[in-house]
Amino acid sequence: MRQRTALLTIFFALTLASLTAYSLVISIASVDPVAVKPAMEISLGKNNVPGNNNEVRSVSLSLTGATVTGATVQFYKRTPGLYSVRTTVTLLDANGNTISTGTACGSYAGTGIRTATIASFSPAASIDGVYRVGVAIERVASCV
Amino acid sequence: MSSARRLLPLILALLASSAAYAAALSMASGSIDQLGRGEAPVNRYYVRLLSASINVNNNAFNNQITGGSVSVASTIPGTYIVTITVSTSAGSRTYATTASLSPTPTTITFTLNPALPYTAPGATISVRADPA
Repeated sequence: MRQRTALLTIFFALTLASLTAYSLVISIASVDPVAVKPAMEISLGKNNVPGNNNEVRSVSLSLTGATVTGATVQFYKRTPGLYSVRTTVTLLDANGNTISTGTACGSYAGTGIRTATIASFSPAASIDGVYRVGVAIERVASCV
Repeated sequence: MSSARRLLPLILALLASSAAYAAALSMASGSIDQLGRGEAPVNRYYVRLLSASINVNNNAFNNQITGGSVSVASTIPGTYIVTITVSTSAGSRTYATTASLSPTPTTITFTLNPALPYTAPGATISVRADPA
């Protein structure tokens, strides 16, 4: 009798275990997303050459979908006078290779915060392929 | 013969539970793509740094970066530990926070303490996001 009770107990325990197994759920919500590109950086240029002590203060990229289509750069024009400044935004890949470039050139007077607007990048680049953005401003004799 | 008959339910139960575990694990592993063979892929995210701005203490050439802001997005929505590192030739400062990121850019402002000299040839703002 005791042996039969023990066997029935084991039987019900295993039945319960099998039901538990069927209700087992491993939720994929608990799996963290995998990083393909977990980091990105932006370099803002600052010049220290005669006649050009200007510095970049900010850059903002414009996207259409995932494609970089433009940029707005603000720089502090410290060196006074009326002269031309070429602003270049360079998009680089994971290996540091340039994949796209956008430029704008304008004439600026006085000192203070100035804005350069880059209307396009060539060739077209997806933001997801960009690991580093470089922003440089250069005093040039002429924008032509 | 009698003991074999008694063991029969036990053996059947063992077989049933083994089959149940196999079925359950098969269903679960089929939805996970860790080995690249599952049916449902694990989310893969890209961090997008869409803007960076620095604040400085003054407009003199030997000024210092006191803080700034970044606009950052992730292709996969979620909570991330965002680490912002600002570097110049004078050194680097790191700021970390937890933020909810999504494909819509989120602006994160940061303060550098102590301030970091803004030296030529410039400053690099690096943003890294890891799942929290």
